[in-house]
Amino acid sequence: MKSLLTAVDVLLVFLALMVMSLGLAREWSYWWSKKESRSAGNWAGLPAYILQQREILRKPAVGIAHLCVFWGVVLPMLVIIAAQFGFVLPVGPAHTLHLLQDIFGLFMLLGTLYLLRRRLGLSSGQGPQRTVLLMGILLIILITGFLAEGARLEILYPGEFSWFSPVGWVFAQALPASPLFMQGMIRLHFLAVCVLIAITPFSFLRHAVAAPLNVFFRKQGPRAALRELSLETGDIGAKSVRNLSWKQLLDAEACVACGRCEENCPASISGKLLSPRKVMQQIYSQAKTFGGAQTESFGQSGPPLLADAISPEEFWACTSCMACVAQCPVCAEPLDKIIDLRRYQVMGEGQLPVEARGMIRDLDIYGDVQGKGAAHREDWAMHRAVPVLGPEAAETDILLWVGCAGSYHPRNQQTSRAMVKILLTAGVRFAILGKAERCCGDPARRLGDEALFQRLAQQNIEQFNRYSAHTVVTLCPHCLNTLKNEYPALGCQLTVVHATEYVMGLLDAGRLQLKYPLAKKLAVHDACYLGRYNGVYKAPRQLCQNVPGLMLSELTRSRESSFCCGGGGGRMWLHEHGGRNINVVRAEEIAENHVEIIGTSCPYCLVMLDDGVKSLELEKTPVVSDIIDIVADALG
Amino acid sequence: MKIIVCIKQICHTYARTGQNPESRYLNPEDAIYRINPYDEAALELALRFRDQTGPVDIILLTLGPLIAESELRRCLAAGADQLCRIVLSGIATENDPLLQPDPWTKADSLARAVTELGGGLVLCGKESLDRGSGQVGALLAHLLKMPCVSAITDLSAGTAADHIRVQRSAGRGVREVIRCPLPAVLSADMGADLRLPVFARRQWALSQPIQNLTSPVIKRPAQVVTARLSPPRPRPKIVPVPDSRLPAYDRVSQLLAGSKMEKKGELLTGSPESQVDGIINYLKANGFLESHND
Repeated sequence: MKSLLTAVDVLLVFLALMVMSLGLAREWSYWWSKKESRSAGNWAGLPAYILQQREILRKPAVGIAHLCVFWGVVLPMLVIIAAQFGFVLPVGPAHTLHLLQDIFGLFMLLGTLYLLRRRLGLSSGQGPQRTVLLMGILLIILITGFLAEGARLEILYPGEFSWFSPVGWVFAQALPASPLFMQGMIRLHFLAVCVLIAITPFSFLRHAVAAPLNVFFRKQGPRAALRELSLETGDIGAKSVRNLSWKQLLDAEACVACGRCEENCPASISGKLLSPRKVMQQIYSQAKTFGGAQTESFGQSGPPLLADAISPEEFWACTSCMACVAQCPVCAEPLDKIIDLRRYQVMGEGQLPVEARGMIRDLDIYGDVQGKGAAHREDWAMHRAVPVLGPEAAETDILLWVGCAGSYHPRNQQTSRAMVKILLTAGVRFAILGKAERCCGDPARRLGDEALFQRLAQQNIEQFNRYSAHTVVTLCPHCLNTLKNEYPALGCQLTVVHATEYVMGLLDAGRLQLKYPLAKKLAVHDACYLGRYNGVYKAPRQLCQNVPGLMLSELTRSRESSFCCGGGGGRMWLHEHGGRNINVVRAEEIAENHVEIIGTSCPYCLVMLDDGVKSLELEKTPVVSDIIDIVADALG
Repeated sequence: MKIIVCIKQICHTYARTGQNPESRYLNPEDAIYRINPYDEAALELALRFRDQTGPVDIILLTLGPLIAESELRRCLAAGADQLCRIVLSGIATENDPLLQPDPWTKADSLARAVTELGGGLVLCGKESLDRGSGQVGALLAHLLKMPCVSAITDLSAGTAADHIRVQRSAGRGVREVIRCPLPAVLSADMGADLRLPVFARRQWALSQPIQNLTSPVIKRPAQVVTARLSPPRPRPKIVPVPDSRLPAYDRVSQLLAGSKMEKKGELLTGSPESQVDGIINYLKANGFLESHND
């Protein structure tokens, strides 16, 4: 192959590349200027992410179409670039490559048509219409490419079947053997490619650069971690888009508004106003409009509030279940932005929803969500052999973190006692913090009161340090997540495991014998903070399988795509406005799956699901039970 | 105009009594120091009044040692302008900061402070959660020679500048609206939740000084005197029923020693099979059933 490019063409390509890079520099200048010095990216997984596109393939039809378009662009591009540098293959392999290119082109044509049809078929609310223009250009490139190829075949091999270019051959049948036509098509093809390159920063195609970049800079620590605030410097959440971090802005840049977050968001599904996609898109458009502007240009009132674009009703509807984060194909996280909005609303405006005020006040004064006071924290263990951590119980294997629910809620107190029974049977040396324990701070943090969270956390960390606690077992997944993933930022490194994991370890070590059968059909409801946040899916299921007679089945939505009970993110204390109740949606799914027991491992899920299944008024209401209770009962 | 809100720091306890007579049988770690919630409601009413009528100074006035300073500052952060404290002299609060003078003396100190600060409207809670005498507001009005409305639930500006409109519950669901001339003393009922302070105000409140007003306790001839004080009882010791199989002498000495032996009882849970096994094991272990190990 000889070089196809003339000087004018080189100039055009150069121009297109210039426009692209200048455009990207301009569009990205705002978040790039906020970027901390040398934030470490991560190369691991990036090539696989780009080449395999597993995240996108979670929705098979769209994923395959996307993969076709991707490879349909990349392969010919590579071949053409290689050709420019005088890279020549022998005829055999060259023809094979040609065939491959031809087939990829066909797949790409099919993929593009599928995506275009899908886009046109959707209403504007469901997806970005702006991709249509891009799809049009892609179609022009494809069709002119095939037309040029057809004309070339007709000129070079008239009347012959060219096995290395079957699609081109089909086109050739209807085309004249005119060099002029071929040249015209090549010019058009080339020009469209240049346009495509040039409009990358300003169009939907932006994601081709932004998404890999976002994956490269993805969070390295715990999943869906919130932004760490430094309250002393007056950083109290997202008042306007200018309070967001560069990573949060890059997230918005990378968002392609595909809507998978919305399809999996319990608030959206149950008919609330909240749409994680809208949150991302509003942040994107505000960052574009106001991000780079001079502070003085806003006058007295400052830059427009984020809450003007995303209403409080929306961001208070979030259950922080992390489904949006788990489902996002470009590693964007609507969740931390929603919490940042709440933070400003609470700490900057004092606008906490009225239902939650009592609870936050109780946390403030009494250190627990029920307002019963620390004096009553070990009442559940009264007259029982439960050692309290102190000078007498210095030598312990584990510290059992009971949590507010386990300490005060009558239903969860049973679970605490069941856990004690298991630990005593297994001969584990354990202790509780007793009256020194405070709420872990999760409800305060998710409801935006970061100052309160930090105070409670400091009180607890003091106790951990005082007794040099090393291994903590928690009964509640929310406590688990806070102690394990959020306390390290405050300077407290602990080994934290959830009760289900720990008990499974005891079973594996042969320290427990489950002998009493329970001949029931059980399904495990994965708590968001145990499953998606901390990746514990196996232990609860294995525990249930170890109970003789128990038949384990799966709910329709389980594991990574499990559906929230509606109680997380402080929503346990809020009313549900609009739409249906999330716990009822989940309860209906449970009812459809005809299970007798729902095994869960979270006090919130327990309450929410129990309320849900009871409100359905079924003939046979499924029993909602904590897995620890089930195991303790099987111990005899 | 200046609005003075009297707020009382209380030691509130949800705990059951402990064993230590030194601490009056209250475990110190169980005590919760906070502002009397009725007084917080009074502050909220004052803040709403200001939101409605425009700039007035809201001064917080407290009495005695700082036992709940962070909560005082929280009240300041909620929207008040100034925090004053009356330092009591003549009462030995150094050893026991929870020691309180009688309502008459408290009202007397407060009245002099109100005169000194020049308050045009005085608000307080209708009673406190710890002593609950419910007298201070009325006595304060009496000493200041001002009208007094007790247990109000709402406060708004009146039609004339020197009047206010006050709402209170008149029982059986009836609400009465009262026209009250200024200056006045109002005591508030619970109902208005104190607003959540924003973070910037909290930081500001931390840096504000607490203005001390010194007030010697003047012993006025009291008409009612406290005749006797009874401290709370210690937590009852659990003395289990002595084992009936023991001889009388042992049983009596067990009772006198306050034996630690507890009566055991366990609720069996789980499947019927496990419960049956549990009962049989119990009966065997206690010799009610003979085990046949053939």
